[in-house]
Amino acid sequence: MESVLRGVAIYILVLIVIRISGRRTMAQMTPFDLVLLLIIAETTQQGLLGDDFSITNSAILIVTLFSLDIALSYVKQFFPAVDKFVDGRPTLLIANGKPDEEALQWSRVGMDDVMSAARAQHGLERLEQVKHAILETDGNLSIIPK
Amino acid sequence: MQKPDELELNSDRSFQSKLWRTQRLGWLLMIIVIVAALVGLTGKGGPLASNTLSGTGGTFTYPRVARWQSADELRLKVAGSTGGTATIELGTGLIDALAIERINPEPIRSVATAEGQRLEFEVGPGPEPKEIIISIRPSRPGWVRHALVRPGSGSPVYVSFLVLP
Repeated sequence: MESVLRGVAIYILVLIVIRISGRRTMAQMTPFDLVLLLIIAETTQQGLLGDDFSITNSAILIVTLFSLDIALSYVKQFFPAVDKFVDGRPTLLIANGKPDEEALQWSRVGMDDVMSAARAQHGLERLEQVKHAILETDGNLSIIPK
Repeated sequence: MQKPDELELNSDRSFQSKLWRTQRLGWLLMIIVIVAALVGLTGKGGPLASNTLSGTGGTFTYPRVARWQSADELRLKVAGSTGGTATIELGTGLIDALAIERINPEPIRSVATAEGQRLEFEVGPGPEPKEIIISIRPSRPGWVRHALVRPGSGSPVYVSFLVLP
């Protein structure tokens, strides 16, 4: 019983913390973020397993975590409000070449990030060449050139 | 900002604004958690993590907040004297909630009583106070309420503490 409860608690905790920390944190992965992710994985493992290192415990936890993931995908499908909260919606940062300062500030995206995405996706050279910039739900920036 | 008509995008700006504000509230909550942990409200060190009660038999220190399956300590400090024995009685409520891992120094006698169990220790002579450390590990999460402890032979004290999951 304990293993299932531990699995559920950690799943919900990680889901909430990642949601609170914002999309940018996870998408713009620097080498340091990668290390941080590994540390979080290591820390979570302690809470998940407790002092029980048996295969039974691992099996129960793996099954619990996968089941929760499947359940969440169904909940998201049937309740769009949950989907909206868990995955969010894409945000328009630049529309018709006009930057939305408020959106940029709140979502912690700088013009450097926009230009970096513009260069990578379309080889654009100047900010004026960007028509739309959208912050996708996975944290990536999509650039639509003029 | 108005969404351009030609752009097929399932965005919701007012929801997004609310979400951004909720996120900042979440950050505040994260800071509160860190501060609470620093002052000891989540156990394991910090000024508020333990509490000390003074009785006739000396002082008794116990965790105000402990963690499930995580080592902690009960400390009994006996005032200096010409030696003899020091006793502490731990009520059933306490023994049920905690697994006792090690007692330092070892008791010379442990007696089952109506209220729980009484531990008797040999105390050497000298004016300095002596300390007895009982290493514990809470065996289940939740509140431990009004658990009886009788340091020395005086009247019992009742301790309540929280065991975090």
